[in-house]
Amino acid sequence: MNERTKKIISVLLIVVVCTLVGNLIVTQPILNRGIVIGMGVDKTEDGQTEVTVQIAVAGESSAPGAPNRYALVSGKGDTLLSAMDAIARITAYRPAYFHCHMLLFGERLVETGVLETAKQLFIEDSLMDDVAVMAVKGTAKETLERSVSMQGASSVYLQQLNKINSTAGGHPAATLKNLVSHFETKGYTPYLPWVEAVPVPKAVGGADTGGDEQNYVFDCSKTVLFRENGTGIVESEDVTEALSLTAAKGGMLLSVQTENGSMDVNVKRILRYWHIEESGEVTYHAVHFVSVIAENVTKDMTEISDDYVTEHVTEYIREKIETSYALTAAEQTDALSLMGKYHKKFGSKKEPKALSLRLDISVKRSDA
Amino acid sequence: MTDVQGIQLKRDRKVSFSQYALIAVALFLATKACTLPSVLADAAGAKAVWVVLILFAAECVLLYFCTKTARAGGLFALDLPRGARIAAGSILLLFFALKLAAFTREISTYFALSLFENVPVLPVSVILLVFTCLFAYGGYASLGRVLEIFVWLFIFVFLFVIIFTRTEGDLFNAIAIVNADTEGMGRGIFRALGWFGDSAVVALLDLSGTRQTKEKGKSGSERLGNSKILAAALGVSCLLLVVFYAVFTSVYGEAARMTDYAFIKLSAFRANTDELGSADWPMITLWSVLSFVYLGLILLAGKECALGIFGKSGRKAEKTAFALLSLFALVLSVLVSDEAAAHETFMTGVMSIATIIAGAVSALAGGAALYKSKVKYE
Repeated sequence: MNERTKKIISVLLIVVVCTLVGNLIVTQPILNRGIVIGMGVDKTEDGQTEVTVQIAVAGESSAPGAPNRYALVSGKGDTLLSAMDAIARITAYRPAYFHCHMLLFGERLVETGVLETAKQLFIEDSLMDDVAVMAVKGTAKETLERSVSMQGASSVYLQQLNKINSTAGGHPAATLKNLVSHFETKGYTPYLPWVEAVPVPKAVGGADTGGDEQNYVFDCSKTVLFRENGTGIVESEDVTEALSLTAAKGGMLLSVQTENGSMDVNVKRILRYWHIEESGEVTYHAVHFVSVIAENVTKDMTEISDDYVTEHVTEYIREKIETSYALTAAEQTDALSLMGKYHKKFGSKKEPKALSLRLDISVKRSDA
Repeated sequence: MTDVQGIQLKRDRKVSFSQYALIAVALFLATKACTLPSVLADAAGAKAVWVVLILFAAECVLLYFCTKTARAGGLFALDLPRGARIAAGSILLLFFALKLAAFTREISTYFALSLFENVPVLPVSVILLVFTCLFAYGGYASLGRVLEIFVWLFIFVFLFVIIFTRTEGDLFNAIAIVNADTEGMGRGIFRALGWFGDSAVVALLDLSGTRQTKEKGKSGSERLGNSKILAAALGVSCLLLVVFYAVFTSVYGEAARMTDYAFIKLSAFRANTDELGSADWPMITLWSVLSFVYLGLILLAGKECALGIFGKSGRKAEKTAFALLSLFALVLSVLVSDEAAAHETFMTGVMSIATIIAGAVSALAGGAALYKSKVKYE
């Protein structure tokens, strides 16, 4: 090969490589990206999937009172992915989901089954695995449309609410990863916080976030438990509290009613251990470190003793867990996922003779 | 082979003991955290941790035999019948070519999906192979030097991840690792074999200098020190790998089988899709270096086999070997990997069988080297 040929080949090679590299490193201006901050998935009446995204519109003022800082866009399709594609076509934006921290499932989707949707979202990999997931009363679209006073967008408000509630034991946290993992694990009962919009008067001097005139707050005190086929049942506040008591590290507030009045107890920390026998007897050992932060008991008593607190709080926790377990077991769900825990310990082939739950609850008063 | 060719071949294959140790570690770790965790989770569930441990032990045995070959000057310097050398070289050449195709595709897909956000894989593969050729052109010593420079990044990333990564595992997922259910472990071992057997690269190195040092009467404690370094490096690698699988299993549980790329799922490779403050960029740098070095080593080993079989040497022959191997890898990866089922069969079937055969050949060569060296000393 002579020098001339070598030079020609070298130049051609450089051109080819530059072309390929140039195709890869395409600058994508931020204005061409729709930064999705919240996403909702609904099932329509005709069985289609409707995806709604709340997009932070770049270039608009973020000053208080500035309108339309968030755009709400929906797309419908026969599948989840076709609905997501429809959004890209409508908006001329390329939706970027990496800042999406809130995923909502609408009521009809919860009733018909969220399993496939959750798995597709997990596998498809657009959303982060640790995106918080909640189920909503009504549609996810109308929840995202709600006007809220406290935060600019309903999804941001829900994100904050979820963070506070899940760390303070208000409701058990659920992420896309946990949801899919629980669905995939034999014997586990997946759960999601259940959100209901509560109308409130519009705050005086609050940010005008656009949307409808009515302002809302969100109540997340209930929980949805899912069966194996992905269909959900909305459970009471008691189940939410039982789940938090058996899953959270602490930080929750309990309102304990006694014969003398009531007391608000802060559960500062919970140390727990699940002992599972091969026969199926499950013992839940838990030590709760609590402090009484408010009470109206002492008007009838000279002093509220440690024993008094310990006895009543223990009884309260025991009753919550036992009642919730019995209630959900009657509905063919297992709020505490005892069967799943059994399979994890003994393998998926092993079956217990009969599952039973025994509680070993202890409470220690600690004002430190 | 002429003496000149032998010297030429030998010079390019020389590495220091520390470089050899780092090359061994890189070969052990490079490809184990991408798609392998999901393949193993699919077959063996939570027992993926044990499967990796078993295969790691087998890899250590293979490394021992390959090191014996390297200490004798490498596969083509062994005092074996020419036919046996050529047969062994041909098998290893095919093995390295298949490895190059398989992992060029895997690494390219990883870059294309994560770093460049869903760009076509083929251009990335082309660029990756071009740069791997340039990277490998400097020989084993230059790749070893790269590892020496970046070894501090290993330590930095390890500490960084420990300090800053917020990993929330599930206790019961962790318990599943140690329960008595061993179903799927055998299947997992077979399916995962394609990701192992990389130590065969070491059989092409020339570590005979170390032997000469020994013969010249260097102290025993110094030799022991070298072995300690290697043992420590391999021990830390094993620990890292097992901890990684344990964390992955604890975090994802049964959903681990649905995670195509473990690094992505553990948020270690999402520079453009994650928030500031995570360990993404150090991880990307580390993984990019490691993947280039890994492919470079495979390419170099393939080249050594090709030149050894045909008795060629010189820069022109090297370039031709690099070009042909790269072209083969590109064509094969396009042909095999475009369809998901074919790709899976290739990775978990064809590659597993190729690894068994190549592993056996490498072990036999190492056994022969061991036997010859004992006879020589006697």
